[in-house]
Amino acid sequence: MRYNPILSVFLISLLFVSCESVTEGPFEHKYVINLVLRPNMKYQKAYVDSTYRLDATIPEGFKGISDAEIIAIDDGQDTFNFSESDTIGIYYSNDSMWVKYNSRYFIQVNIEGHQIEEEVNIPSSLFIYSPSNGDTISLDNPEIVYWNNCEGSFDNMYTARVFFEGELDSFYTSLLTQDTSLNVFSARYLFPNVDTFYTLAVMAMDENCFKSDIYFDYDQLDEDFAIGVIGATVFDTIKVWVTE
Amino acid sequence: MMYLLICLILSAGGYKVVTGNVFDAASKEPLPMVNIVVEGTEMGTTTDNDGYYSIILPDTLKKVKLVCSMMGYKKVKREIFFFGKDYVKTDIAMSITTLKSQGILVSAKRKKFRESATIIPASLSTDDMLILPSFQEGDLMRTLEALPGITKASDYSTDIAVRGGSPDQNLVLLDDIPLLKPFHLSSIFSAFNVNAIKNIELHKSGIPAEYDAALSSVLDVKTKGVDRDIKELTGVFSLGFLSAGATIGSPVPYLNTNFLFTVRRTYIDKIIPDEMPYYFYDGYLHIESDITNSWTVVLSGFKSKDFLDMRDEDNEDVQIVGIDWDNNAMGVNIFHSGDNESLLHFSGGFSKHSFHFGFMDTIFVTNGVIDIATLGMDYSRAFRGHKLKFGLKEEYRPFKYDISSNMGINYEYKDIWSNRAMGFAEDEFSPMKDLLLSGGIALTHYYSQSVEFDQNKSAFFRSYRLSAKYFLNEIKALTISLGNYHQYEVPLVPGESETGGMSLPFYYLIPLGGEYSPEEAHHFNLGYEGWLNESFYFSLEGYYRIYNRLYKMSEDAEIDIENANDYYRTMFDEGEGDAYGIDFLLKKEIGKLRGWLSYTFLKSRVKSGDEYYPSVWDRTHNLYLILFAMLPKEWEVGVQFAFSTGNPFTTSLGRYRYIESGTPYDNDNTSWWMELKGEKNAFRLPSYLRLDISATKPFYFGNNELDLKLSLYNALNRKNVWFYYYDYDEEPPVRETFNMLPIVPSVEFIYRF
Repeated sequence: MRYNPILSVFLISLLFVSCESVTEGPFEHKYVINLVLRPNMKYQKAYVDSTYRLDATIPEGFKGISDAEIIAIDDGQDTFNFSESDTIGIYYSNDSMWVKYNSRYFIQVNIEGHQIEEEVNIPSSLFIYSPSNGDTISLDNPEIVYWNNCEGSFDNMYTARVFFEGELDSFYTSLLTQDTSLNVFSARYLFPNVDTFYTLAVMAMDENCFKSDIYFDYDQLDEDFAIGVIGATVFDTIKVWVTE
Repeated sequence: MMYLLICLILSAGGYKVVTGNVFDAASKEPLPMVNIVVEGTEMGTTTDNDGYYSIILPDTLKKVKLVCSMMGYKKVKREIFFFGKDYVKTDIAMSITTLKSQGILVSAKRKKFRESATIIPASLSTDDMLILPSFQEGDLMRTLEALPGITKASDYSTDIAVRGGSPDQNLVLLDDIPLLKPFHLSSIFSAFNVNAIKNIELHKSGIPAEYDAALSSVLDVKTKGVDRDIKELTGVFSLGFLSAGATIGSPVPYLNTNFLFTVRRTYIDKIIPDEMPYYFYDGYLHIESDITNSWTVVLSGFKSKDFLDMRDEDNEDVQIVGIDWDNNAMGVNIFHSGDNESLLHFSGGFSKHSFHFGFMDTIFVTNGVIDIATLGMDYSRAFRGHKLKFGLKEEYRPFKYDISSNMGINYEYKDIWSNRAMGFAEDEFSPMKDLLLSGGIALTHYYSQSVEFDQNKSAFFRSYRLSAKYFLNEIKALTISLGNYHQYEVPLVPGESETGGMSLPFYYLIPLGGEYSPEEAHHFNLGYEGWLNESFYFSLEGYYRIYNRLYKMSEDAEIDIENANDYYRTMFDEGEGDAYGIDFLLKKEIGKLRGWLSYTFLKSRVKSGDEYYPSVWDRTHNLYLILFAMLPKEWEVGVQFAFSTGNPFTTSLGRYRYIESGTPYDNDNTSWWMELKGEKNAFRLPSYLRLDISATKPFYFGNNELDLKLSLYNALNRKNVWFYYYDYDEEPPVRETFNMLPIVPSVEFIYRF
């Protein structure tokens, strides 16, 4: 048979196809903490969880870690403890309304012999002063919402998010701004439906929450064995009525 | 006299006569001594000094087939019908064979080998690009990937990385005019139309000092003019699945001028406008004029455009995606050859790269314009055994960007510019037999100003080049070269200029100023090149590159909109890097079976903080085998086989529930899965392998030629992996693969006249 270079290339190609290797990384176990202090909230909430294998089946809902010890200590050395709820991995503070604006807390989380420590600086109070809180504004007019300058807000950034009224976990759209005002008329795109009540929430975050929320950066903790975010968010809300 | 003889023969009766002229298809010059025989008989003749022939045939013949042959020219067969006539005149054009053109190229290469102290830059000819298997159409940048030292991110991009440097570290010149992002459709196709390109050279080592503006390489693309030998209108029409194009050129003898105009455009938007509201086009103009015997002027023009207007099916007023991406360039090069030993060259050029990208009307809109204006002059002279070159260059680049989004991010930067003024000198000489030395030095004054960022910089930078070539014999030599390189602008792209293998439709190039100094790299190269015999050229070059200063977009930039100065100060993180490897090329340049084998060993690393990690361009092994075979019936077959180590990637080590932090509620129902990433680029995708095949055949219509080219890209339909992702609709999540291009057939028609 005559030598055929094209056939040779074809056969060599088949040889290369037949040998390949795929590499995958080993599983890495880490604790996952989410503890966001919100002065507006009566009780504070923390989630303690871990990473999971990608090929492991995880049941629906939250599957966390029990028996974690969570403590917050303020500048006056007052201690606030968290207790585990009925849902594994979700913890609530024992005391109510203890998180103060413009204050500092030292957070300690002990899980299975590992300790995580973080300092959290709560921004100052954020309040919408015009229109008055509780008022309902309409998009019919070029209404402007004003709020105060919130000290401690990371990079002086504010997030305005829109929810269906009464459902703060509902669909929202959002914008970032460094202004302390928002012309809702020109930001009409935030309110997709007509004849609908919305809740407009204006929020300020510390650096940890900001990076977690905007960049999805969940590697905020100093420890190698844990990831997550321990930070603070303050906010105020106002109702918005949207007509045609 | 001959005419009278024919008249006498014909009047005598019983004969038929065929006469005519045979000439060179390109130059139209008459061809003497061409053998002409009547197929199937022993009758024939040869052309005289004027290319004239005549053959006397028996009266009984109704048709004959003439076969014309001559050394160095393709054989031509011409069928002639008499239709009752006794006398037929037919002129015949003959084209030079590929073998002859190969011989011309090889002798030019050997001349360059003897006269240059560096390894010969990798080059490609138009023929290579036309015959090689295509992904839809012959593509300069796709062909480049088959040269040693070149890596690419994926099949979806024609952007290249040279010896481990990122694509933005390549200086792309079109007739000496810098071009930015010369691509179409993100970067799936390059904007370099093969029919408009005369040749390219890729300088990877020993890059001349006058090009001190990029860390990795210089891609020097020259547009095609009309061949000086051609005396009348010439051109090419092309049609493929992707686009239709035309090339028209002609000499203008009374002006001592010639011009060549090339254009192509996609047409799918004309066929299915609703489904595919997208088109691109590019055009080239090359005008060359000999004003006097010693002065020549070359004018070049280039324009490319991508346009997409995708609208909501239910509401035509809503634009889902809008792209308007332009690249324009024009330039002039003036040459004056005082005598055979000196050349004076003036150049001026202007290029404009502009883009508009809009998503969902106002959710994200960005515009940008980067202008580049260049002026230069250089003077070369041979003097007492030295080849001297001096020159001055000036380049001015203003930048304008604006970004707005419903997220509230609104930037507008319009008062940013940079200016580089450079003087350079180069010398090449032979201090002793068999040794050739060259050196160069460039002094650059760099000035950048930014009103919005309030960051200026004014500084001088020196760069040097040293090369030596030692000839072992007439056809083999050792080379060594070293130099330092600077880059004055860097792209603002997340992840150190890595875009995962696709170029974005927007490109923010930022001049370095304030505390940022230009990026700097040092190259060391050691090579061995020559010819094994008359047919095989080889080059082997080892290299080591150190990147003293590299910048990548910082993840911790102070995005304080009110204070652009802070943003600029924290925009980039400074890092380092290195790359080393070996490039090997074995090329058979002559014969019916041609091609090359290229192998690259490459390690490329980037340092971030204290840790080194593989850059996305790191590929340990890269092997390409290219074959062109001339088969019977003028079929020409091209085969391209590619194998490389898989792309590095960052693997996932596990998953976790992400819960939003910036919310006024504490409901975990809105959590979703995210992945814990491992060490950066520590893992490898499966090896990349591809086989492409093409077959080209010319058909002749009178003196014109129609080439049919059939190609199969990824003929084995190999599922090369681009990236992995996890499908969380399943529990546990399933790892899915996003593959690179599957088998893609293409057909091209190229009509030459």
